[in-house]
Amino acid sequence: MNKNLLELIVSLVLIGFSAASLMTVGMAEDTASPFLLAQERSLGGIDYSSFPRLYAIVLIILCSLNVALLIKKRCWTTQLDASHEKRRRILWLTLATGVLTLVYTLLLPYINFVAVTAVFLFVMFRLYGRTNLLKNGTVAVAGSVLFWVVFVYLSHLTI
Amino acid sequence: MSETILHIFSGFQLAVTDPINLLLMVAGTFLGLIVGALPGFSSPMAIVILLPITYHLKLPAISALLLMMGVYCGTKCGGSYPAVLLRTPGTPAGACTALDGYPLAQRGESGKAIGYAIMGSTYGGVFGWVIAVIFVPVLGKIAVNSRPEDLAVIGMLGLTMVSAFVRGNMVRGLIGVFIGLLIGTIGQDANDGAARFTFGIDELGNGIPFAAALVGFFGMAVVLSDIKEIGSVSELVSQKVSLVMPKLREVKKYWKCMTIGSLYGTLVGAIPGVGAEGSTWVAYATVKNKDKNPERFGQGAPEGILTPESCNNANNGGTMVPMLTLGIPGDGSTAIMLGALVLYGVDPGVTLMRDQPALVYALLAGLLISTIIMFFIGWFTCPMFIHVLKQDRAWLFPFILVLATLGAFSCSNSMYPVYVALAFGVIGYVFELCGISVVPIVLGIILGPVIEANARMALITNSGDWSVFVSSWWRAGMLGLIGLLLASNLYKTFKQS
Repeated sequence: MNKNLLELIVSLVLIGFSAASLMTVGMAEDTASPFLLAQERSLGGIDYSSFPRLYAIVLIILCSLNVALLIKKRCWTTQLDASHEKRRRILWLTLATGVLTLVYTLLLPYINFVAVTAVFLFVMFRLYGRTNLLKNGTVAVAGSVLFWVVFVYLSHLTI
Repeated sequence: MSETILHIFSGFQLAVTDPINLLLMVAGTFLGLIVGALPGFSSPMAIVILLPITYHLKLPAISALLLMMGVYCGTKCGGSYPAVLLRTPGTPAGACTALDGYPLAQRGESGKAIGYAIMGSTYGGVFGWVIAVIFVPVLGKIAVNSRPEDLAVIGMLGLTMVSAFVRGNMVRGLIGVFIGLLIGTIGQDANDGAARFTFGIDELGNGIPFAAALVGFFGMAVVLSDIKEIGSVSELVSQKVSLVMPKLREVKKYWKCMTIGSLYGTLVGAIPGVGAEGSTWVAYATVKNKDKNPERFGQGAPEGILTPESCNNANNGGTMVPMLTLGIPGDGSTAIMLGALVLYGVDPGVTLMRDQPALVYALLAGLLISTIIMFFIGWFTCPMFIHVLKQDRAWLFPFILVLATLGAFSCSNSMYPVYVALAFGVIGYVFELCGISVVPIVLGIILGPVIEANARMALITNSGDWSVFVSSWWRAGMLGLIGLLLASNLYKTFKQS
């Protein structure tokens, strides 16, 4: 997918996000102080929802403008600058990094910090092309222990 | 004037009499030089990882900020090492240095090239400090007498300038700003207690944890963006570098180009969101055009290294002026430093000079001291950076991810900020791919609550009269400037399309 097409999709998503914000901002009325709310509305007519509504409306307008500009440029016809193989590799590495980091953060509360961090580091080094397993393992374990000493033992981080 | 001099001395006293502060500045500058030397790593990334960690370690606010100041100063100079030795700048602001630094290194004078870079960086850093020390008290006195309506308009002007000057077109810049503004509204409203966009989730009642969002944007998103660099090998132009520091007579010979670079750097630094990158090229072009033999440039001319490097570091002094007087950050790094002030319970707005003058002047002292430390560390540890430059990102990126996770966790000793950081990391990565810079988003998150609170306060104190925003000539002038910037840049965007 080329960048302009991605930008088009993101702009459309932002329009949806802003529209949802417009519809849901009023839900906060129940939590507001009625006295303060009435007082504010009598002075200038603005309240807790005014600025979020303004931001959402402007964002819809800006994203619509951006969509119009991209469609005018025929964004889907732009040539990509990297080879197909290279792009696939980068996308795969990026996705894998994101997923592995998410799994690491999900496991952190349940598994020993040193163990899960060492495994995470080891897997990441291998993912990024480091093939010397002994070196990967040594650096991963040493790094995890160092983090534990600095952040958990000395700084009392309750991870 | 005498009061200002007294404050300057007390700032130095606060910064250096505590040996911990001195140690932190040395450590920060050293870390900054390393971060700057590594292509793809940036000062916002290093500072943002340090931010929650220093807070968790219960360091005093001034100590944490001095550490960050050291990183901020060191990064700009550190970027010149790969620019000279690899023709790959360590920071975007160092791209210009490669034009003359690399050819000079190819002629076997890499030590001299790095010496020029360190000299230029130090000159620019000191110049920027002088400007900051002159203008911060003056602007501070004006700012403290500001009314809520003034502050609301200043905030709007700051955001408009960020969106006008950030890379890409203004439409993308404004989209970034308004995304940040909308994110900044999450949480309990300060005026009437309404819980905006919390959807019953208790953690969202206090809004998005700012430090975690910064870790996501400047830490995780950068790793995701730079994954494409893994595996690429850069060839060092020389494996052995002996630093050759320019002599004093060369400082006298090249003072004009360094001063021009420094002037551009400080001026541009004071404009929010612009950053040092653009100013280095303008300064370089100015010095080249004024030279009798402009064909020397690009072939290893010393002025081609001194000008952009002095511009780079002078930028630091420039960014201090709006940050310390108006609470408007000049770039990503100062945005994080403002976040640090908020985290430590210090109001970083216009009252900072009045309420915490010791902190302001200690920060300014830290700027000068870090610049001097940078000169000596850069001089004596040059060979070490050759080793740093050879390191593969495949080793460094996983450690950055773990550090970012720990940094986010230390915000509140819970996993919630970690998930926020991860989410913002993905969001920041996608936005960067689309050409929407994260700097306007961060500034929108910081300035949005300031603008809203002051605008609503202005209406309350003026009985709902909207004309208060144009009732003085200078407020009307600033709104006019906002309109002009918006109209001209939007017109340029549509014309280009």
